Amino acid sequence: MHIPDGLLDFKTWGTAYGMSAGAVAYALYKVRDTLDEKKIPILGITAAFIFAAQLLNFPVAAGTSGHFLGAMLACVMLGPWAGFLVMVVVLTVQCLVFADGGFAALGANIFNMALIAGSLCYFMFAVTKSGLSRKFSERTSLLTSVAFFSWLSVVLAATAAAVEISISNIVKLPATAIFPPIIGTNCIIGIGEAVITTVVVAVVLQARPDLVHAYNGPPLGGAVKEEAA
Amino acid sequence: MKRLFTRRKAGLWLLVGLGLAITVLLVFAAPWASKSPDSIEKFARDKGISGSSAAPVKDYKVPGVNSESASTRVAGIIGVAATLLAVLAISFVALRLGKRKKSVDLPPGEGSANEA
Repeated sequence: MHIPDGLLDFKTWGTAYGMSAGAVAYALYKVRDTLDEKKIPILGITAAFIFAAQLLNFPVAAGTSGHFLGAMLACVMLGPWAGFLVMVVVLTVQCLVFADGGFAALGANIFNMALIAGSLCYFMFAVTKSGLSRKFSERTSLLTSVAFFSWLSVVLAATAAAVEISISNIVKLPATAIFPPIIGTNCIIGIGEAVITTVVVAVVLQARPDLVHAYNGPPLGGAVKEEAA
Repeated sequence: MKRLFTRRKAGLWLLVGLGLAITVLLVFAAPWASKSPDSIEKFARDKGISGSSAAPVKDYKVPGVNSESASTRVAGIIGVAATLLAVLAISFVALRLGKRKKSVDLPPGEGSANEA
């Protein structure tokens, strides 16, 4: 759901650039003190996987397609700020090398698809997960929250894009002509997002739970059944 | 401690290898992806806006590669490599700047990754 150039006016894309730049600075500040050397291969492979998965558009409705976003996957695997930075890299490479998403709109695209769909959804996810984990196992709470918030991440990112297009008012359309077509398709795309994110997190959780940032269960619980605890 | 391959890290490298394999498979499958525009792209096109900015590999078509599917795959490889390099470069710079500096002894060869 990359915004191309020509849909946003200066005040909107300028503001979005400012907010995204601030978020990048904050993320770098957070990450430089918490980054674990051993996590670097996971950082790299998550970014590469997200880039490659975003290439695969699947048809959604007549004449429209959607693709994986990966912001929640990045944040659940790497944490809300390292995950944010990974998304920033993916979006910047797409913009600068492939003209996927406009150059002026890059700030807005980072704001929507990395900050809102990534960090913000991660914090809502974390609150929900810890609430659920009082009643259910850590693994169940985590995967349930991952499924819901990865769906929501796509819907919220699309909503943010629709708001930006709407306040830019370049297309001169009422909100009723902007919001439904953009948000409607993304409610369907979000289902694909939820399936892919949940499956990937579940697989890594099974193999190496210590590599999933959001997991607070027993340290190397791959072999240890949680029910035993 | 600084060794890249230890028994404890075997699982990590297996997972990284698996991730890389899946990534390569996804890139290989990219030509079969839907060619339809995505939600916002379609919205823009319907309104007559075609955001045309210049880029080296515009719209995932590598100049000079005639076959459309080969072009998409090469573009995918370029993108994966660029993403990987950028993330590694940022990580090494962040490690260098961080408070955990003392626990990090980069092997001599990897210092140059900072300039990448």
